[in-house]
Amino acid sequence: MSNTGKYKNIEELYRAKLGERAHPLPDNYWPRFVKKLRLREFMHFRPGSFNIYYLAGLIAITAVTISVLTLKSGEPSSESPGKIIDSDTTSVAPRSIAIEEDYKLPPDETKIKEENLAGETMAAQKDIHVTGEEANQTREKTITVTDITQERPENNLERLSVDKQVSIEALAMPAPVAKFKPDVDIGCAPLSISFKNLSHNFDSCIWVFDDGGISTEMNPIWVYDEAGSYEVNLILFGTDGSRVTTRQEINVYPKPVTRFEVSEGNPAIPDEEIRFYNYSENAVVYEWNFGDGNRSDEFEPSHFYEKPGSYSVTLITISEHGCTDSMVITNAFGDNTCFIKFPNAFVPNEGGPTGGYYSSRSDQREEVFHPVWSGVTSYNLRVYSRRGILVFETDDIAIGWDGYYKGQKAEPGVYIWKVRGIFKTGEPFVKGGDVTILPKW
Amino acid sequence: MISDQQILEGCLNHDKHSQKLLFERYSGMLMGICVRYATDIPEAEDILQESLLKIYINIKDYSGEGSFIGWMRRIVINTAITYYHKNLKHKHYIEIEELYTSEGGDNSYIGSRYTADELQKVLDLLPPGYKVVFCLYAIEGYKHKEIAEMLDIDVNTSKSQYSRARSFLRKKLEDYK
Repeated sequence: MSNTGKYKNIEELYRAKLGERAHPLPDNYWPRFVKKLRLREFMHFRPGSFNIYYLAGLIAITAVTISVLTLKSGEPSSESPGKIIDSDTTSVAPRSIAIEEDYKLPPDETKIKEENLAGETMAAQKDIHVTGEEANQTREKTITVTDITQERPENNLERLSVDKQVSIEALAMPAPVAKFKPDVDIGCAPLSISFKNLSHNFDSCIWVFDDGGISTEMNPIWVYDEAGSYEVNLILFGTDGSRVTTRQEINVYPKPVTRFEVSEGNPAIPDEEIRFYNYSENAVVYEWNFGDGNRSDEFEPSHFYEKPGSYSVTLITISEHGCTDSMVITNAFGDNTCFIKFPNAFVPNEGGPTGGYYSSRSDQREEVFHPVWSGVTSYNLRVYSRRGILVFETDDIAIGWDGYYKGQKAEPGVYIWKVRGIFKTGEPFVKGGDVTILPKW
Repeated sequence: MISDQQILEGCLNHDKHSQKLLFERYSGMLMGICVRYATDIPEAEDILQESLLKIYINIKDYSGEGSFIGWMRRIVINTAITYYHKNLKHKHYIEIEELYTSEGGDNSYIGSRYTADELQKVLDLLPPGYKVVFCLYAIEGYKHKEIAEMLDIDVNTSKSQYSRARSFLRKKLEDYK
């Protein structure tokens, strides 16, 4: 591959130079990789690949399962899951054993406190009779322990002073394992997170969301509406009565605040520079869309529009954590559709001159001759009678003709009007027409 | 010399020797792809590992149509994109400055000597998103529509990011000489 070769374009240059380029790997990459591969192959079981490893795994799993099942359902006999710690193999009959049984605990968590009333015995073989009502859930049960061989030692000096405890250590119920997974642990406010409880061996759970909220649902959905760092705690109450907590941090980043203003420029004027003032906070990237197909990523851009129109300007801001916000000014330069229109008839107010003030609300009865308009900056309206007499003139677009001339109601009939002015686009206009004063009917 | 076909058959039977041959023959080339998309070498190695696991485990899914190398490349690229997505929210956006450099005119840089290292270095100056789009389009030869689907972005975003990346690279390459 020649380094001096001519490449047509940058794509060709890159494709030629980097497309097939190899990159060296560390020497121990393959051995490390093979271990992972074997594990993955093992997990990726296919009937065709059954071999000694799977067989061994199968046997191991079966063995564990059987032993667990046996222990769980075992009777409190010799197969009892408990083992009696009684180091000096002694017992004396009859003795009473008080069982303090925590009400909440499952039976095989029972702690037995044995009160040894007698002294030591040699080579004791015990036969334990348990008397007690399982049914009525009393907190205490009495167990009588009778020894078959009641061989008392000759010297039992300590027999009254010995106070022993026999504890039955039971194979506990599996302890709860707390684990959960939020679908996201990082994001922008407001951040809605769906938590998945992956724990097992538990009765109930409480979620503490660190923003003042808690939930007892299994898989809650929580919305963090304020930015911050939160430590979510999941507290489990296990089937064995224990309590386990696990926690995980959630980071909620603030959204940027997008604010901008458009300068007073008029895009209709050629070469008029429109400036955009940016008041956004908490953002590092700015994406402007000027609404005419042009974009910018400056902080405060200026732009030249090629032709007048109603443009919507959008600013998208992105914070350093990738959170976005946006703001749109629709029709940023006001309504640029400039027009002026006049009616062709009206009925003056019978009660006398009104002065010609109008608004769309006050003139619902069309008692004033006035235009509907938009974007007019200067204006002159004249109304003539058919004989050419100027009956009304105004430079104020807010005032129309009330149909009165020198305090007298003008005669019904046709009048001629003429209007001159300039739209805010700078475009002058001259219009004329006639308007009929209708008689009151 | 053992042919690719033989290696392929060996790998289908999970033959250790064939697996190693495949690795020796193609890992460098595939790592070259990973390096393009990853932010650093350790990440590239992770991507390669994940890709190779997929290749070895799923080799039976390779239909035999199209080139085997192409199939592996596609897996590596898809894995790299998954990584890119995973990292996206943790990485900060960096916008390119001076994007609107004029196109055309001076083409002299095209003939001048750039080593692959230099080109890679300039490529690494691009923000991750731009870099991915550029590599997929210019080097891998995907269409903007395909890139948009792969990266879950708008076609126009792909196009505009590409053209920005391109003008940025041109300028940087010119500066380089």
